[in-house]
Amino acid sequence: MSYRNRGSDYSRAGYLFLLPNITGFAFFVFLPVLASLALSFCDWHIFNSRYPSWNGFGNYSRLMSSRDFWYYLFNTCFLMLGIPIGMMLSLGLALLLNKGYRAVRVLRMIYFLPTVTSGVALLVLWLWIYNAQYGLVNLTLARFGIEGPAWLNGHFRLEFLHDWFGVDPVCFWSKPALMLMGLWTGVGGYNMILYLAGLQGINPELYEAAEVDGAGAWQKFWHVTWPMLSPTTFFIFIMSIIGGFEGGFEAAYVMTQGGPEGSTTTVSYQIFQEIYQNNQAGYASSIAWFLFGIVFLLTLASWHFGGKVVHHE
Amino acid sequence: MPARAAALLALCLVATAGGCSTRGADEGKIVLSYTRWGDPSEMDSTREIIRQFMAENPGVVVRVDVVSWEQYWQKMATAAVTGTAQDVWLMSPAYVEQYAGAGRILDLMPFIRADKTFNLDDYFPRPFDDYCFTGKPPALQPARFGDPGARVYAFTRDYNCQLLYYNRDHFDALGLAYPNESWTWDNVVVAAKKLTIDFNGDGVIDQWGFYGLEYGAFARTNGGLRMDVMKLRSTCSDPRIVDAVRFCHDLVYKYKVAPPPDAQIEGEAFTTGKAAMTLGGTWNIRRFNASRFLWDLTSIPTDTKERKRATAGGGMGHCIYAGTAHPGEAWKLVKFLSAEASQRELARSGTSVPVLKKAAFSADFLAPFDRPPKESYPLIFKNLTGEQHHATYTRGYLEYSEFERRMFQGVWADLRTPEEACRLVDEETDRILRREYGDVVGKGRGAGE
Repeated sequence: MSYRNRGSDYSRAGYLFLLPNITGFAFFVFLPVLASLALSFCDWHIFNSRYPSWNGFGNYSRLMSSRDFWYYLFNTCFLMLGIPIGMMLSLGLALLLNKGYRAVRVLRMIYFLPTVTSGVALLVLWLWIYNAQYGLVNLTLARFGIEGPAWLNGHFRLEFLHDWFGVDPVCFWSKPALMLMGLWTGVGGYNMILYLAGLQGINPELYEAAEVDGAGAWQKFWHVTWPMLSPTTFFIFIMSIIGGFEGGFEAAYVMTQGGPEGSTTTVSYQIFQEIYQNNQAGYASSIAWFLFGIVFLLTLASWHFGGKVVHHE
Repeated sequence: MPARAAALLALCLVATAGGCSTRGADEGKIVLSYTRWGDPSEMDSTREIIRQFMAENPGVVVRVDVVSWEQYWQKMATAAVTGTAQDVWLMSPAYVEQYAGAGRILDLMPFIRADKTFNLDDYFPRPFDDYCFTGKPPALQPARFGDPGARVYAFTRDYNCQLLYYNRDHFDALGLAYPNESWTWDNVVVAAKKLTIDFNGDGVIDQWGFYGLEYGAFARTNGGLRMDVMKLRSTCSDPRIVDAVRFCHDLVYKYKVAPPPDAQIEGEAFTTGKAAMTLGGTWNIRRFNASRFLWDLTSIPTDTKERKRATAGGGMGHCIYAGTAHPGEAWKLVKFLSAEASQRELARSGTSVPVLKKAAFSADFLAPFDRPPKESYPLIFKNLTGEQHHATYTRGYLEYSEFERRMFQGVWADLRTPEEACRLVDEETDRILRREYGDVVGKGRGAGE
């Protein structure tokens, strides 16, 4: 008698144990998710009206024609430009920390610390680091005779854009500032751990074989390490993109309130504002579902094309 | 096997449920919940007042919940909508119509009528008007306390105004004359220029002449109101407001006497002596007393000598949630929070001027503090009882005030002119008003009826 067939009693008990969790998921996650889908087709000022009223695709058409929304989506994507840089740094760090030195354990812990530290506390710390007058960044820059900008409030204009294209958009320091901060927090975090795990999973025989063939350090990396890590890289990339679309809320809420001029408002912060500040439950839901659509399509696309670039052993 | 699993499951459920039972000591007592915003410095006096209330009412237990101002209104909106709001909570004139209009808070007039001890003359009367309306929700009309048919949706607890604070030590160091009631904006600029100093010559300003971007207070002092609440029209482009915005902008960029907007040191620049002058509400007195400098206060300067100063005060009040199970006890608490014992405690706290005159004019007022000097108290009361303004708040305040903040942030960053910002604020505010009130916007309340 096989383990599986030892009686339906056994599997029933298993389901029974799962029941509390599944019930919780159904009631507190799945049901609200469905409700928000329905709400995205409704108009509902939760404060003034008791019930939602059907609005068809009204919210979505408002969304499509809202300049604010597209700007916030642009912000969200812009902040994601830090992802490849962060991944490279994570990989570099993982390569360094994959050595057998004694100090490595301590270093790994240090680099992982930001990940386990309370997010809000870190953001408040960064508020001070970026303070234009007393902040660590600008004081350090001042040592080298550079006058640092007002990182979270300041702006600049790019001359070459004006010269070449005739456009003169205002650029805010807040965006690179938040990107830099994200790098600092993210580099030593889970991505590094994943890369470390990936590195340790590479068969040493491959390196030995490469050495026998006379491969140098760079060739070993490029022809062995990098392809062998491609599933990890792919996984990290997808997760970072998804996280990137959903991200930006904490920094906007704690540090910048989405400003200046909406330059750090991401889609997730806009959703928060629409529901908790403007009480627009329907509109907020439609933004959330639009965001879901983007993430869903991107994930589908990356699974489709990802298979071609990922090397499986 | 399944039986044992089910038993285990049941045991777990019972164990978790056990954690939910109420504490034994409070059994049989009425539990009231009370929430307010405030920073930790105000907590001591609040806790003391609540303790006194529970001592006087042994049958009632009050659970206190404090939230910071930034999160308070988002939290209360969610709580009111989901029916989980506290029995009694602190209300601001800016939000009362939103909550009263949606039927989320109780009309307190029946309680006040039934209370033989209530006498309006015992209080500063004006802040009560901020919570008064006639008409049926949601079509409320701002009213005065004595108006026939007026409902009052909160019972006032304090009465504050904004003033100019100046660091006397900094003025003395340069031998400058202190600010006084005859000052205009020009005086502020002249003094602030002298008081803006880079002591060690490293190119970083160590002491600023002025701190803050309180255009609203400057504008109100000149009589500029941000909203026509009767016609329901945003009036941000009123020249007195535009001028005040420009003045605040110029303090930073033209005169270079105020630091560029930097949210991080907000409010504490005056306490630490990094700024010689600032505008602020009377609720700052406790905080400013942490300063090691001697400071004093005076009325906010007007733009020109000819301008008649308009003074404005406002007060927070306590409201009762419409869904409360204990309206009688809730009213007792509300009344107690504005009664003599708690008002004297409030007077001592330095976080607000009490609304009860007996407490405000008592020896308890600011008793634990040595600043401002006692001679300046009459000036506070003069500002509170002087010429009065109408309220400038409507429904949708949270939304348009946030938009306003963003637009003026663009002015402070030198990206937008004051005129443009005010125009954009007017447009967006009117849009929000139309959504909240419908067609009557710009024509006046009741125009559509």
